[in-house]
Amino acid sequence: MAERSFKSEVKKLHAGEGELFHGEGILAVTKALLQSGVSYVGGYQGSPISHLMDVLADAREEILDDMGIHFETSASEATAAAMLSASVHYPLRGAVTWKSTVGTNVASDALANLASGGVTGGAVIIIGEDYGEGSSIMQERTHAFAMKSHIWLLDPRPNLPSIVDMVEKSFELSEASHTPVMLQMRIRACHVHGQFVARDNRKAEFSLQDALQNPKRDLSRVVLPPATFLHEREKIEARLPAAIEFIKAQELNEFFPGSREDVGIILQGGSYNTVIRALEHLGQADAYGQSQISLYVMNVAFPLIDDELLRFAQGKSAVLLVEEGNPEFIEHELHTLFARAGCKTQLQGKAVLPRVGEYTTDVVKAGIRNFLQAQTTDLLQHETALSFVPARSLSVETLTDVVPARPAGFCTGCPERPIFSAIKLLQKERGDFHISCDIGCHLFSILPPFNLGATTMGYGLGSASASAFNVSSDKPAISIMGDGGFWHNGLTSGVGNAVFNKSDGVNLIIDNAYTAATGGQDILSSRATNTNLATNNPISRAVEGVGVKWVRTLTRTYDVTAMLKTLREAVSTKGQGPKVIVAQSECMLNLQRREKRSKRADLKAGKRVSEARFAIDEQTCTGDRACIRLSGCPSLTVKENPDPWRSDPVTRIDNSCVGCGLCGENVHADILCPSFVRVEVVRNAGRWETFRRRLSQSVIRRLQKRAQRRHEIYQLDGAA
Amino acid sequence: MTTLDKQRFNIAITAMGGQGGGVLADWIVGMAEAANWHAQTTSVPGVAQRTGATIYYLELFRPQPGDADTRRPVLSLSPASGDVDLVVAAELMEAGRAMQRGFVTPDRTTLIASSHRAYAVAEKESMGNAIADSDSVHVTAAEMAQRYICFDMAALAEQCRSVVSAVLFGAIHGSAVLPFGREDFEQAIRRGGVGVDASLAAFAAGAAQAEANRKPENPVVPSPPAEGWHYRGQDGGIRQLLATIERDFAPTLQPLLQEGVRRMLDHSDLRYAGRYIQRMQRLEALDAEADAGGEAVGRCSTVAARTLGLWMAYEDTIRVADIKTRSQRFERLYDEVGIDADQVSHFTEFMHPRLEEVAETLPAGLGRWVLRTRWAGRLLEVLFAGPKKLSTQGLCGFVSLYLVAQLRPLRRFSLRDAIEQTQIDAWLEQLERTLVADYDLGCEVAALPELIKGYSKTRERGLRSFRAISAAARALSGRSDASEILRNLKTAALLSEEGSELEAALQRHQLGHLFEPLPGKQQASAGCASQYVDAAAR
Repeated sequence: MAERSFKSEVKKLHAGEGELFHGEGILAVTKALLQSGVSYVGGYQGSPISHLMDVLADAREEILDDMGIHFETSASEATAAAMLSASVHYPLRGAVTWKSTVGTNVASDALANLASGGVTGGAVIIIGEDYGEGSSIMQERTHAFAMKSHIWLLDPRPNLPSIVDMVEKSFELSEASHTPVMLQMRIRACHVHGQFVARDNRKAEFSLQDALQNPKRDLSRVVLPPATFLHEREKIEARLPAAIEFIKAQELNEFFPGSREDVGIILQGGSYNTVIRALEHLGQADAYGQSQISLYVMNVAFPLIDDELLRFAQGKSAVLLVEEGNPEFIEHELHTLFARAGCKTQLQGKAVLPRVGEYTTDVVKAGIRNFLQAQTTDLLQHETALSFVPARSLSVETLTDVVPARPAGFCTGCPERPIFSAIKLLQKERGDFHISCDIGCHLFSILPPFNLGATTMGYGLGSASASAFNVSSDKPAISIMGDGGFWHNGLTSGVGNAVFNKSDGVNLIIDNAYTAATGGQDILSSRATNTNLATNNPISRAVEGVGVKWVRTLTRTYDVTAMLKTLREAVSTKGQGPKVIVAQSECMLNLQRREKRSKRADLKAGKRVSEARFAIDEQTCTGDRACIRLSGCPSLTVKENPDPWRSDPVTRIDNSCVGCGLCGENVHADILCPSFVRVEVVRNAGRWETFRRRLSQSVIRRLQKRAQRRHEIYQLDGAA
Repeated sequence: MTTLDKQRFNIAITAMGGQGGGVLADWIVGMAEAANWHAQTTSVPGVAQRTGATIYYLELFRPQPGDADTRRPVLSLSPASGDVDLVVAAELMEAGRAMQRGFVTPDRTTLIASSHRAYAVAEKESMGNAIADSDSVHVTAAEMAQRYICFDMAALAEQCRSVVSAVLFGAIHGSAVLPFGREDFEQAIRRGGVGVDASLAAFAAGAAQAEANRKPENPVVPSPPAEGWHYRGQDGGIRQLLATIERDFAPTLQPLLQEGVRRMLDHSDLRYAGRYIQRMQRLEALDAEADAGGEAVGRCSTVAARTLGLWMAYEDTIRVADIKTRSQRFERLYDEVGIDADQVSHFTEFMHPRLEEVAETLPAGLGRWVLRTRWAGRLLEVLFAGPKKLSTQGLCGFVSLYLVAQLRPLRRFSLRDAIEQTQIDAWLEQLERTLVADYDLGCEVAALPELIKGYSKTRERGLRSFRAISAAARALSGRSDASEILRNLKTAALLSEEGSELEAALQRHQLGHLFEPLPGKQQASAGCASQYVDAAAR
């Protein structure tokens, strides 16, 4: 079950014509899909569209099943893209979603094939464009994929009515031009809370069952020569003109005329709110978006509509293009367009705006100001400093050395942390290893305090990225993969590859029973039962199935000593092919959520409930913090040394400790200090337990009093 | 003052995972929408969904006559510098970060921040003290914010058994920066429907505190140095020893030495306290002579009183067992987890004594013999060493630790004591010699034992740095920049466990040979053994 439940929110999806719908961007997209009459939906979770998958999963019983919509959690983005092939021959509308560009990279094989043959039913890909602040991936543009495969790219204005409208239009565009369509949602748009007026949900007239009963095939749609040559011609000669025709007729792009005739701004829909705010700061627009400067808003970022652009540029001496990201594909195309058409309007884009990075209000404001100063004779001419930009005082500069970076890290009690503690201990014994990492929570190992891992090449590719080091060495490469990446492709690309090529490397597979990094969704090897999905398929059996001989499954990652022992054995075993260690413990976030609920119920029912957490004896802690360097747990923190004679802070465990036990295990495995104590509190204790406690306490108290007498001689009025 | 009649309010909330930033944003939006305002919120969680910081950004737009359906405001999805009315930081350094990003400006921004700290990994993992300076944030905030409201909201939340977001929401109300009434705020919490009573209590507490305290909290005054120890008991020996302090030492030194005596009594006994004072007497005499020029009186002795005291009160098995069985410690643990002594609970102590620690508890001769004799060592190891979990609320666990603590009077015959006293004497000897030759260098040497911290391997690592730098001090004696070099070496020693920075620093002064390579797994026992041989030879 996913980390966040949308069970109550999905009830809103029943909203009918005219009802006001409040909610997050992704919830609005789901509603728009229902209003569009989709027959199937798929995808792979990942920020910023993880919640879209969660909403869909939670909506399944609430509404999708009733509407005859098939939803599935695809094994990978490639699976999701291939799913769209249902729309090739049949008038079925389908949508898939993923995080981009990483997901698009994975999906690109299927996407290119889909785009070549074209589609009959509307095929839409909701793209979570993970770019700019908050992004967790390489900074690239999905735009390149749209251009190379000829998939139309919509980039709607980031308000819910526009987004919902564009989702609906994207299906129509796809059908009108027999081309798949991508709809791009930026990070903030995915999470934006707003409202829109709903329309009725629409059930598809042609169902998946209809297709199966009346199967169709058309050789000209299959990607195989000579049809492929036909497809290329069709893209340019038939589908593109049809798309342009539709976009123009439906006015998908918007003209916002201003009072100025001489200059204008061309922008992608996604940047609209930012541009308006920048213009407002510069005194060129009001709070309602009424701008003095004319705007041409491209809710369709690809293809460009030549005559609309030329019409906008006509009569203007200069236009500014606000195009986020690089390379600046639109700017290049616009230059070509203007040159070919003999348009003399000056085009400025990256000349006044930065070539890289997110276009925030501050950035866009500076660009527009420079543009207007240069291209007009009257606007902002005397502006020496930007309004709204505060002078940074000296004291702000001093904060540079004060405010610490706060990189993401493992959660409190995370079962992955002890695995890296063990690797750190292994390295203390044997020196450093080459470690190749993967995508997932476990990638936090590359950060302090672990500092483990040299590369991360893509989801599920941890093992594959160590494949070059398939040479004899007393220090074999160690590769790490999560269960999410393993099922995404790591089983074949990594483990199968290592078996086939007789690699001697060590493959550590971290099995926390969920794709934890994307929000705790279930996967094939999840231990929970899920009525809609087939879980409980062990990773160990899968790797044995592809021929791994040396497999060790550890069912409690917190046992650092056992983990260390297994690692030692793995790195020193030779000639048995790849060594696979499956390290299993449930994601602590999910475990806690489950346990809290059941403990509350038990407590109410009067059953015995015990809760444990760790604490530290501040009198024995000497403030070296070797424990923190081996753990990094958020609940393991510091405080001022209570002993005024010592200056270094002591370790402290705060109330967020969930008692996972790692601190104790580390004390034993690395021979740390004796300051750690586990405190277990029992509620609703039984009679026997209470009696035993009273008995032992009476003896302990007597002994403590006896010892106290010794201290009394000098503790009279003592300072400490 | 912020004008309450303005059209749009821009709000940035910075919070870490689990602090309820999302809930706070929802309350504010709910409150605004209930009043028919246009409200928009968005967030950038990204990988910060785990433990990083998340920024929530909200815009609230007052409905204007004539808006109807035709005009809707265009609201921004991200904060722009100079365009934020209210910044809410759920942690102090996040307030600092908001200021760095230009969200806080003197002409309009109210900054509400909780003064508590959630330390970053970089602050926590350091071997020395790397805690960021909160005062810098307070100083900047006082300068950059139109109004700065800062108090410990986490503590307040804990008192109310709620989370920091509810206190922040109260502080927003208390700051009177938004044009909504108390009822509107409370209604928003009620609509949320989860933990309403606790949230309302925390809200009220936050509001009251913010109203009362619209100025920054006074920076925390560091606790004054130990006052010394005023003994009022009747024990003749102790009184005599304290009289000696009054007679023989400068008044500025006396509180330190009194406290030292208390520590020795707590650690061992009066005889041991006497030894501490004797050692200090020798040192102070030399100090007074060397420092005849008379800068700060007895600078070196002041440092040494502390480092010698800490070293002499070393943590051996007896000391640890003593601390772990004390009633005050039990009380502190009950208090920490919020229970009383009568509630059923269990303490599990995690310890890992090695053969060395076990042998060190034995009488010196016997201990050395055990370490030399393979079969005896093996036997002791099997019996007492290795990873241990002890239940100190169970009779068996408590009594065994209690008995170890009772060995205290015999401590002075133990191998550990022999080793420590030999090392202390060697250090004091070097200190005395250095003091006479180079006073500044002497003060550095006096502070050197600060490097020796922790237990078993951690302590060995500290001792290794200590030995290397002590040797460096001997080698550098006579150089005018010796004390400065020594200070740098000490800093370098605290940069990493492996000591590579210290090694590099030593090499820069052609002293690389003084650095003992870290004993590998195989050599570890040999390395330890040499320490015992050393101790024996002296």
